[in-house]
Amino acid sequence: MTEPSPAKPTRERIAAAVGWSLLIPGLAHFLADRKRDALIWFLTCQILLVVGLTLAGNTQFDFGRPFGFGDSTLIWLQIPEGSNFLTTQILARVYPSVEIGGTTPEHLPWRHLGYLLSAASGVLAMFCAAHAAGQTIVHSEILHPAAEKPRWHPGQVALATLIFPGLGHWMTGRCFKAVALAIAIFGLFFIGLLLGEFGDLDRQRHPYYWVGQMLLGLPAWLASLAASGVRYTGVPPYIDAGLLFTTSAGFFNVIAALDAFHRAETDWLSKTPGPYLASQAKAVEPKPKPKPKPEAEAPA
Amino acid sequence: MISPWVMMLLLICFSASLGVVLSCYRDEEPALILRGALRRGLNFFLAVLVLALIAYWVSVGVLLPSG
Repeated sequence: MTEPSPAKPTRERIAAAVGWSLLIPGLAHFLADRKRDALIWFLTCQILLVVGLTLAGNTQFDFGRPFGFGDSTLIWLQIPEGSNFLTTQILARVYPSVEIGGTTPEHLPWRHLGYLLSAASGVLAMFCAAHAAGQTIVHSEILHPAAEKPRWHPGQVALATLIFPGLGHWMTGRCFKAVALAIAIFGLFFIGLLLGEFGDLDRQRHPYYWVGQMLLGLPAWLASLAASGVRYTGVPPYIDAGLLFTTSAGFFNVIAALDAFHRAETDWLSKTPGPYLASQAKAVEPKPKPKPKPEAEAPA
Repeated sequence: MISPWVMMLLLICFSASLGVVLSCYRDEEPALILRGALRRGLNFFLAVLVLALIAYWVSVGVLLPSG
């Protein structure tokens, strides 16, 4: 079955909205004249980043890498904070890490909370882009006058997946998928936590795995905060499997968010008189009968 | 000590989760999702198992120095 897809100008506007949002969260909303949303997104992402960096003494930058030519740094590669691109680039240059290369800042008591907040800023910036894309669809693809307006737009649905895996599907009425995804993703994450003896959510110990774990959203953020005081007395035997499970759960949640966005987009587009409905109408519309030629008037 | 049976059990868990997520991404109907999850999970499980057996055979039979 052919699925509806946004028209070409809409797709171009979506690409622009994603780009602007990743540059400065809220910029796409601002350009689309959604000033309240723009302010909320901008302040949330920037405050989380600045507070997170302050609490951790900017040691987040020890996990990033400069990228450029010779001695000049063009881009500071920083995952996941780098999704809040412009502010991260500026702060990485202006405020270096208090350790400058060290990754064991035990003297910073609030570092775990700091890592969590700055990571949340980056992950939220990604979902801000999804939210802006959803709003673009809503404004560019006008609903058919007779159609009932869907309650949630694709961006809101994707954002809900960040609160809990499957919540976005539940909001669009796909309850079976919601439950299946929640069990699969959250189950995998919980088994991973058990295998790692609740100590696998640690940026200092496993910085690359940690990035993937943060993509799970709120459950992983809360678990990370709760498990920040866990101390190991030895290496857990199944720590590798635990890390694989928790990180995969984060990536699976991104797949769930993409699917929730796509399904909500399909719901919306199937109610617009766009190219999809036009093509459907053409398929069922009978061919018009040729009009009979008007009879020639008789000469007087 | 890592038990191969526990690893097998973990592989089953991971395969099941992967199968469900991929099927939810690909399909919309519950019946299709269930069938697809089983098929995809089984495919992944068997593929990893075959690779593991080959790796074990290479490590024991080829790479291990013989007396």
